[in-house]
Amino acid sequence: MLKTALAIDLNVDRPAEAAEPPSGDALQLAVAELLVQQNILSLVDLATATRASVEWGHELAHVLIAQGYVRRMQYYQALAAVYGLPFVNLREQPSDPLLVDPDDRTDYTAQNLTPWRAEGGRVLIATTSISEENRRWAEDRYGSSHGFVITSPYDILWQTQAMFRERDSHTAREGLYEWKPEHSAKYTVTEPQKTTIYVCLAVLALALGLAPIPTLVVLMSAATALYTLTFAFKFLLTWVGSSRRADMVISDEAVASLVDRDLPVYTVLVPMYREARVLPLLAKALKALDYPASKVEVKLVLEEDDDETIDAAKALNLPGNFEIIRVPASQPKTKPKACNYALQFCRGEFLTIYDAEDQPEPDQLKKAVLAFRTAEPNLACVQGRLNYFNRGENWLTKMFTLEYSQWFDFMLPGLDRLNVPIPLGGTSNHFKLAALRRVNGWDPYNVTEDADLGVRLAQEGYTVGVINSTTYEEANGVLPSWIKQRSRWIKGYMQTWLVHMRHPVRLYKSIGPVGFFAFHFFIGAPAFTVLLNPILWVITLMVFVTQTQPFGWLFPEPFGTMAVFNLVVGNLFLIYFGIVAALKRRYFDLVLVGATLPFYWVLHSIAGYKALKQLISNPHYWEKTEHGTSAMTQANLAAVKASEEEAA
Amino acid sequence: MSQAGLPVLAAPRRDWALPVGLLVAAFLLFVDGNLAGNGALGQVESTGVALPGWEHGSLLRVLVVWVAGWFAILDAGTALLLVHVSMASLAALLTYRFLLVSGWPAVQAALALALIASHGMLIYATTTTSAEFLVLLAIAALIPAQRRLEAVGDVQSVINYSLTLTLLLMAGPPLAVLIPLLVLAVPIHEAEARQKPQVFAAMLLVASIPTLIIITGVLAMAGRAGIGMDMLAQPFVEQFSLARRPATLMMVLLVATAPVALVLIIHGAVPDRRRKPVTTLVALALPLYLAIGNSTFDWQLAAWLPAGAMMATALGWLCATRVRPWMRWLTLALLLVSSVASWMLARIWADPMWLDGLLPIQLYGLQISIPALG
Repeated sequence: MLKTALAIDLNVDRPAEAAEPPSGDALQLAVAELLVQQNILSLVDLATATRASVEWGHELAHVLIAQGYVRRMQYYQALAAVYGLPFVNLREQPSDPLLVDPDDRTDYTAQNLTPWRAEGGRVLIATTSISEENRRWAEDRYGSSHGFVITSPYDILWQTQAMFRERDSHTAREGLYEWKPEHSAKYTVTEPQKTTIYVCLAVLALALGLAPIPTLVVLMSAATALYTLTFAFKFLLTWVGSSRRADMVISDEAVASLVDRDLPVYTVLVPMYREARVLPLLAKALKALDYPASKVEVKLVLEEDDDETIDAAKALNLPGNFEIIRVPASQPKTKPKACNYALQFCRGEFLTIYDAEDQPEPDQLKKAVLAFRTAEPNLACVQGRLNYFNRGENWLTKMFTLEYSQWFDFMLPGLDRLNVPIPLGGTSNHFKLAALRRVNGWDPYNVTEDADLGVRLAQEGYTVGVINSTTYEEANGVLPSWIKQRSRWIKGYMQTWLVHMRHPVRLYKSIGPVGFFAFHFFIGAPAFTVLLNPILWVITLMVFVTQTQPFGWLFPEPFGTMAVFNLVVGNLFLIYFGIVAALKRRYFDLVLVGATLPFYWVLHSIAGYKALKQLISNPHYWEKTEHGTSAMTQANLAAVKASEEEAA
Repeated sequence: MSQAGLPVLAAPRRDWALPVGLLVAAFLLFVDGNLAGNGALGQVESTGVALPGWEHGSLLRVLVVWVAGWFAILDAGTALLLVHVSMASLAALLTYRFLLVSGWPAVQAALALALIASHGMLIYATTTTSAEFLVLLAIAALIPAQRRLEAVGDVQSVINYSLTLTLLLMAGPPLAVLIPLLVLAVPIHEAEARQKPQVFAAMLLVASIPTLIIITGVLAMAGRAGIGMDMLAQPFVEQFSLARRPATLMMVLLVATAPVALVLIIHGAVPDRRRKPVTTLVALALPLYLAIGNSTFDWQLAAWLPAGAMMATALGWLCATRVRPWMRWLTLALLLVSSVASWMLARIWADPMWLDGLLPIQLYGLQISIPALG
C-alpha cells in the first residue's frame, strides 16, 4: 500500500525517496533525524522528547510539537520528506469540494485526513499519518485507486472548518433543538406554558378583584412557605455539604500513582471573546497543568470576527498542542454555541472547559481522570471547584468569594451527596466526550448552559460529581459588570426552570422526588425569590413603620410566626451559612465582612429584575463578562511579561 | 463458573431503630396510661400567662407547649405528654442508631436501650412532662457535638457544635450561662486561631452566631407578641439569686444512681488513641456543675436532675465513642446497677404520688397486683 502511495507522481519537488520508508518508531526517529540534520531540532531536545515519548506513551511527533521543539509545519514537511511524498498546504491548495463526503465529517477530524484531489485516476488523500487505520479507511472508500500526500493537522483543521462551515455552524446552533426540542431554550415558553401563565394571571386578577384581602393573604402565605422551605433546603445542603464525607476526595497519593502512559488524550476548550489581554495568563496556567503536554489538546475557541484575540493568540507563539477554532458568525452569539462548534473538532477521551482567566490547580486533569476511572460508568461529568484569586480586592470580590465558597464547597457537594442533579458551574467541568456528544452538547440558546446541562445529564441517566480540585478565577469586582454577569446567570436559571418544567411529570420521573424538589429549590426558587425580595422588604418596612397594625392582617397565624422566623432567624442563618463557607478554605478574613451579605442580596434583586426584563425582550442575549479588570490580574500579566522578557 | 474466589458480600443488617423507638414509645405510653388510671398524672402548669412555658426561662419548654397546643382535640396535659413521649422515643431511636455506629452489636445496643429506658429518673422525667427533661436532652446532645469537634474538626462539626449551644440557650438559664465558656472550644480547637488573634476572633464569632441569632429571634418574636424584656429577663434574674441549700442529696443520687459514669473515667484512664479528654471532662463536669449550681443559686431544679444529667451525658458519650468489647459489657452491667439503684432510691427523689401511681396496673380497667418497688 505504501508503495502505491509512493508511486504517485506529482509535480512537486521532493527529496530523493527511500526505497522502503520506515514505519512506527523508526519513522518517528527518521523524521527527528532529518529535523536535526536541518538544524531545526537540537539533540538535547530530541533526547528530552524521546524520553518523554516513552514515559508518556505518546508518539514522538506529538511530544516534539506539544513541547514546542519544532513547529507543526516543520515536522510534517520533514515527515513528507521521509515518506518521499509531497507536502501540501491546504490553505494554498485546498481540497476538491466534490470529493468531500459530509457523512465522513467525523472521520476527517478523528483521523486527521481529508480527500484532496483526484489525479491520474486516483484520489489523493491529504493526511498527517499513513497509518494502518487510514489506509483501511481509504481502501474502504476508494479501493486501490488512491494515494496519499502529507499535510499538517492545522491544515486539516483549516480545511475541515472551511468545508463544513455552514453545516457545523448549523449543528452547533440547532443540534439540540432538532434532537430534543423540548430541552432547548430556543423558545423561552411553549404554547401550553403561555396558556398556563395567562390563565394564572387571569385567575389572580379575578381573585384580587373579587376578594382582594383573602387573595393577598394567600399570596403572602405562599411566599412565606416558599421562603421557609428554601431556608430549610439551604440549611440541609450546607449542613450535608460541610461534612468532610461530602467531598469526593482524590488523594495526592492516588494522583501520584497514575502512570502517564495510561493517561488518555484530554481536550481543553477555552471559549473567549475579546480577551486578548489575558491570553498570556491562560497559556501559562495551561502549560502548568500536571499532564503530559502531548496528550492535552487545547482549543482556543474564538469568534471569527475577533481579530484582536486571534492575532494575540498567534503572536504568543503557542506550542503545537494549542489550536485556534474560528467560530462562524451567527446568532445566537453565545459561549455554548461556540463550544458546540468546537466540540466537532475534539479528539480527547475527556474534555474540560476553562475561561480565559482561569488558573486551575495543576493536578485537576489527573484528578478528573481518576474520578472517572473509579466511579460508576454513568458518571458523565465531574465539576472542579471554583474560587477566586482576588478575593481581597474590594467588598464585591469578598462577597463573591463567600458566595462561590458556599456554592462549590458546600451546596454542590451537598447536592452530590443527596444524589440529585447538579447545576454545573461555567468552567472546570470535565466531561466524558462521548457522553457530552450523546446529549448533543450544550444548549446554545440557554445563557446558563452549564446549569441546564447538569439537569439534562441527569434526565438522560447520567450522574455528575464534584472533585477536590479548584480553579481560581477572577472575581468580578466592577459593579456594572457584576450586574451584567449576574443578570445573565439569573436569566439562565429562569430559562432552565421554564425549559424543564415543560413536562413536569416527565422531569419528576427522570430525576426522582428528591431531585425534583432540589430542582425547584435550587434552580427555580432562587431566581424567583430575588424578584420577590424587594416586595417583601417594602412590606416589612411598612409593617415596622406603621407598628404592624395596618398590615398585620397580611400574616395570619401560623404564617405570621413563619414570616417573623424567616425575616429574623432565616435571614440571619443564611448570613451564617455564607460566613461558615469561609471556614473550609480558611478565609478567616471574610468572616466579619460576611455580616454585610444582605447588601449583596440587594444587588441580586437589581440583577434579577434586569434578568426578567431581558428574558422577555432578549432571551438569548449573552451579557459578556469582562475579564482582566482585577489589579491582581494586571500584576500577574506584568509578571508573565517580565519572565518572558527575561527568558528571551 | 466457580464462585469460590468471589468476595462474599455481607448481608445488609436489618435496621431495628424504628421498631426500637416505637417500643420505647409504647412502653412510656403504657406507664402514662397506668399513671392516668391511678389518677397520678401530673397537672399542667397554668397556661394563662403571656408566654406559656417561660416560667423557668426555657425556650425549649415554650416550643414544646406551643407544639402541644397544635393538638386542640386533646387536653393540654395529654398533648404535652405525647410531645414528651415522642421526643423520648426519637431520642431512643437515635441512641440505638448511634450505638450501632459506635460499634455496638444490635443485641447489646437493644439491651443497653432497654436498661436506659428502665431507669427510674428518665421515666420520671418523661412521664411527668417536667422541664428538666428538656435540660437532659440538651446536654445529651452536646456531648456528641463536642466529641466530633474534638475528633474531626471539620466545618460540619463547628456548625453542629454551634447549633447545639443554641439548645443549651433554649434549655434555660442554668445551661445558657455556660455558653460563653463552651463557645471558646471552637477557636481553641483551631490551631491557627491559637496563634493569630484575628483568626481566634473570627472562629469565636462563627461559634457564637447561632446563639446570637436565637436571641435575636426570641426578641423579635417577643416584640411581635407584645412581651416585654422584663418578662423575658425575669427567670434569669430570679434563678441567679443566691439560695444556699445542701448539695448532699444531689451528690448522693448522682453517685448512686448513675454509676455508668465510671465507664467514662475508666476509658479516660486506659490508654487508647480514641480518647478525647475534653469531651470526657465535659461529660463528667456538667452534672457536677448542675448539682453545685442548684445548691448555690435558686435554680429550683429537681434533686434528681444532676443524676439524670450524668445518665444523659454518659449516653451522649457512649453514642459517640467506640469502646472495647469488655467495656461494653461493663457498661451494660453499670446501666443495670444504675437502673436498679434508681428504683431502690425512688422514695428519696421521686414524687410519692407518681410512685404510688405506678401500681397497680390500671390500664384499660385491667387490675394486676405487683409488689411495689423501692
